[in-house]
Amino acid sequence: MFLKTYQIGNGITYCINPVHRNKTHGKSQWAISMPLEKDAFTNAANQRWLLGDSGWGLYFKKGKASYLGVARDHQKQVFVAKFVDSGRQQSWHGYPADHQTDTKDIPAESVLNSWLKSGFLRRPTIRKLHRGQPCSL
Amino acid sequence: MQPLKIILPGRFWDSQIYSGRLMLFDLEGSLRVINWDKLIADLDIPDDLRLAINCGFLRSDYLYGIRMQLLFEDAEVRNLIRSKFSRLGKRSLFVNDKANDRNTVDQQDSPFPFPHADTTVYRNILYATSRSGVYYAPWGKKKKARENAIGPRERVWDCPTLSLSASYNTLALAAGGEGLYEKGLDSEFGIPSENEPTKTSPQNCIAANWLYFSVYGSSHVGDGFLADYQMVGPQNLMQDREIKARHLKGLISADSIFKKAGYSWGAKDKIYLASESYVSAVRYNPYTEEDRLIQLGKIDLKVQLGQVVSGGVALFGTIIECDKAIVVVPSDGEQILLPGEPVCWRIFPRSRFYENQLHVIYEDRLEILSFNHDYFVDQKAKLSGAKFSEPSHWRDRYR
Repeated sequence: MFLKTYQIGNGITYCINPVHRNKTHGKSQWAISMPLEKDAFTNAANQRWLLGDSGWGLYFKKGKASYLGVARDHQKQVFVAKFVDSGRQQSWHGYPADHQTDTKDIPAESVLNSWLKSGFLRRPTIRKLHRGQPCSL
Repeated sequence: MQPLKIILPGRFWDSQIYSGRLMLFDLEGSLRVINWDKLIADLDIPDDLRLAINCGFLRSDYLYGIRMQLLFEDAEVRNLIRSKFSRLGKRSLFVNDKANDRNTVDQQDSPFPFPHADTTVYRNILYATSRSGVYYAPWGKKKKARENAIGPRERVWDCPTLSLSASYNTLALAAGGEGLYEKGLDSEFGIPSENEPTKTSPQNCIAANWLYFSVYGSSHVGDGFLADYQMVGPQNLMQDREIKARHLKGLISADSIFKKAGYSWGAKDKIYLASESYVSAVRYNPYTEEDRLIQLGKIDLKVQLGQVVSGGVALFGTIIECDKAIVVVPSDGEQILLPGEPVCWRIFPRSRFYENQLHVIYEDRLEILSFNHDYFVDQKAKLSGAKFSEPSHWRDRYR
């Protein structure tokens, strides 16, 4: 059961998954509001950061990538969102991603390259993301 | 003795040096191959400093070992060589675009998905790891028209892989939460075999480095660990040579090696674990059954490290990358702080001629540092840095 469902357009829906908002043990938690989570997804869709059934996004505050939640330990701040379309029916949900614990949370090369070229993240940050190393904004 | 430094301006992502060629991956996803030997020869250096620049940047092996023992027993000779490195260290060595262009021998799109996570060169083949897997591209020396061209690429494995290291005809693959894997290479041609990689350990692993024929896996999520191998054999006879095989004895956790928590890393004969204000050192010797791991003590650091990101072991010392700087703990002399967050840094612990180099890429340049103090250090007594091991043919020839 989702907390809220947004119609994004072009038959795409975005669903707010409660386990990433209700302090469920072992689940990463959003620190931004539900509308901002949806906006991060919409931006990812517009920027073509959704690839097949996976996608990645960032949350921007005053034009700069910012922390959007905490990892599974509910302590470590993270700044990458992972989006999934598990049923491949354009019904997406997302969670704050931790590139250090799950390599599948590391964005695809084309997404990293887009972030590199646009300057959304600094180059050392992108290297650390890609190598599973600790990094901060 | 301060390190020598060559600066190449530009916006780079990664660098490799191998067999007289400097490979530069830039931010546009292209790969430039530079004739490194020629570029060094082109530098405007007085003749009396040629020995220092050649040893510093082209032949790191030249002043090591038993070949130079007689010369280095002479204090005057030692002082003379030291003074040459010191004088050269005071010069700024800057390679401008013209010199880069003049010595470029090939330029092409990177054969790998861009940006890649890590690269290595082994037996004339360039390897890369990436979110989409592990790739290799042969260095096309056989094509005379473009003898420095690299590629095309082939994908070896589709598992997201963070970093890799090659030795003993094997790729050690750090696959993060999937663990540490190994992939065999064809012993004749050096290309990856068709077999799937085998899992050495299911433990989280973000970097894999070779300690002789064993592998050290580093992790920020869990403990680091030593995949402790032994050589057994002969397995078979080929061309009258005994072929020994690596056999995994077991996995030893960093916690049981150091009795404390922290990020750890290793290469060759040393393993290190970083704490806030010091680094603990352990010597590893896989050629003995007893005392394979010996506690060497700790090295106090002159800076507070904060968050440790990664580490490396070279002959010249131990390298620690922390949040906003790199700290070099040399095998002798003052610790060196390289301020600034690097885009990438790299050492070449398995190379023959470039073991003294540290490549650090910043936003607008590549700095190639060359450390030359270690020729004068007792290799058996070193706390920081790997021990130099002479090739066996040197011992036969010069003893």
